[in-house]
Amino acid sequence: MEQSGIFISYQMAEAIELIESFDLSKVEEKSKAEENLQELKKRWLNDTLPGTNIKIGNKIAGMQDITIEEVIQLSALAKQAETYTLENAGAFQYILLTNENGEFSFDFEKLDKIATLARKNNKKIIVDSAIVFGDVFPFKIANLDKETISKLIGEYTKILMEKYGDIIDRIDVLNAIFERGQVSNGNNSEEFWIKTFGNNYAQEIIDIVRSKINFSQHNIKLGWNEFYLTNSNFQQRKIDFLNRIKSVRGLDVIGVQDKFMSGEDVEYIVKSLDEISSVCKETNKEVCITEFSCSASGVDLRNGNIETINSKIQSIINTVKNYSSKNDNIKRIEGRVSDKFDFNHKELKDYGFDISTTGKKNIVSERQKHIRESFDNRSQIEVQVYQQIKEKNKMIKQQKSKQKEKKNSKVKILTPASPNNTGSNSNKGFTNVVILSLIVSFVCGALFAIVYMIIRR
Amino acid sequence: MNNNLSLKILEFYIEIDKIHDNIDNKIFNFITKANELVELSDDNYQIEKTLKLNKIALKGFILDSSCCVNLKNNNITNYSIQELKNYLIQYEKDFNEDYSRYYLAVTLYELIEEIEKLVDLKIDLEIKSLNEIIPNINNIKETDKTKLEDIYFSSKNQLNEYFKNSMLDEKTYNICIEILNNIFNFYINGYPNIPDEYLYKNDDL
Repeated sequence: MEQSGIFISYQMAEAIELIESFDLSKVEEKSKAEENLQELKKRWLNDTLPGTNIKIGNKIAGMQDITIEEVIQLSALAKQAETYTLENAGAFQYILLTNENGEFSFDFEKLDKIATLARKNNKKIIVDSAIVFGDVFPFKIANLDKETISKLIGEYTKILMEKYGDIIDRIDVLNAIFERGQVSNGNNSEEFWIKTFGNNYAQEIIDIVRSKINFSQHNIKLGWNEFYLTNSNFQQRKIDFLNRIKSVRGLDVIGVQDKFMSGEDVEYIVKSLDEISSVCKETNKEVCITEFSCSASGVDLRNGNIETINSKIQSIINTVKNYSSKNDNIKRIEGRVSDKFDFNHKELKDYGFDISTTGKKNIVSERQKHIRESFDNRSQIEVQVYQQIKEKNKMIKQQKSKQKEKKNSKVKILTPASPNNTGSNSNKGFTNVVILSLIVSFVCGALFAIVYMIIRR
Repeated sequence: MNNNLSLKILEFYIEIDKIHDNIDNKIFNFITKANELVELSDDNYQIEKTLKLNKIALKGFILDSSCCVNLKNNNITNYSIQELKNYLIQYEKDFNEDYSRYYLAVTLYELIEEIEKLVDLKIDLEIKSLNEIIPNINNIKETDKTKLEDIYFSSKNQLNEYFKNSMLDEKTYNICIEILNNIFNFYINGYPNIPDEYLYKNDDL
């Protein structure tokens, strides 16, 4: 099965729309298009992250130095693909806005741009990370009660249907729940949803979304997209995830987020896809391979053999594609265009490969240096070490809280008995000590009186 | 005895000693602030044995913050520490969240980088200070770890020769030995570690 869905960000949609409005076969028009693309890029610098005042700046991966030729390639890919995934442009917790009076609204401006392109090319869209976004704590709704949040989710779905019901293929109601990396004031995002909606929060939220969709009018599927399900370092996650989805009703699609790295265990990938596919068949769900991409691992990039990297990457890509073509339950492969660009044009260049000629490493460039010095740039080994540190710290945290509990229970024994708690064994110690002291002082007093009387006689 | 040489080494030693004190102060400062972060992070960060592990732990802790996850989800990458600080300030304002723990983590990360730079500077000075007596000491930077022992003994022999031939007084000789030990200690063990008493132990409670 070939890749049939792609990720389109609003910047991509704007760039495509721009170049398609020019006749690029004419030199004059092409230079005008180039000028306009530069203007567009300048404007993106001042755009802000959805629902925030944070300027995106010049850090948009794959887009800050995109060329006209690359936009032409993008435009062609956008015509071939069946679906466009929105790159979070429609995510509930991103586009939710609040004004000074505490009133809520939604900012669909960025989604509109992608929807316009989808309609023009007669394509469907996938609303990714729609409601529960596991790796981002939902600050904007963190202080609201269940009823208000349910109402907002309902309202959001209703507007989605009114504006884009005709072009939506799937809504990924849940995304990357198991990431749970997002800790805010001691809570991670899943703890928030459990606290507000209970352990069955996934079911409750799916039910709210379903209740707002007229399925006789729109053929829309609801999905749950999860990360690292085929990665051998996260075996327990796959087991936990498959156990969970078995009992969820109204879920049509399971998204397997496969961002592969060269050198991953191919056998384990196939084995995992088998297991996921079999559980989904039993429970009547489709499987989509989402965010499909394969990049060179840090180790391979540092070792610097382009042939080895390519063969490792091809081996993973071919395995997944072959598997998908033989398995009816794998509905679609959705790939990240930006990753494709990153791999072909940027990632290798950044690591100093001359891909156009020899395929060998060049002298370290300034840009390459900058990328390596970037704070958010980590090697795979560094990420793995951090995961181990995190596990260790988690254990320390648990150990500390257990020790604290023990200490507290010891302190309790010395607490005076409360009037409501007179019968409790834990508070009897203090009472006994007081009674015993009274008896001893009474006996001593009596003895002293007797001795005194004897002496006086 | 070569008075000029002794004087030169002594001058280097005073400079090295200053840097050494500075490193010690910064490590102590790091430990104090890192302890604060252990509290503020609700034990999600713990002080690690080596500076490198502390850097990995701090970077991971910061990149797990809602701000960084948000940046990643919006394809914002390759930002410097300074750019990250600006993002954190803006993000804190927008979401009315307390980000003090992440600022502290960034400060600690920068502090480690300062310590590493100072250690590098100190080692460079130490190598320079012995360069006149042991010309091959410069090669240590490119030497395989397995050959360090041989270089150490040959360097020590050269110092002994100087001492025996009265080209160094006892005080300068002892200083040279101390510097030599420092250099080899760095190339064998790397950057200074955090003393064990500041690391989490089961009986800490």
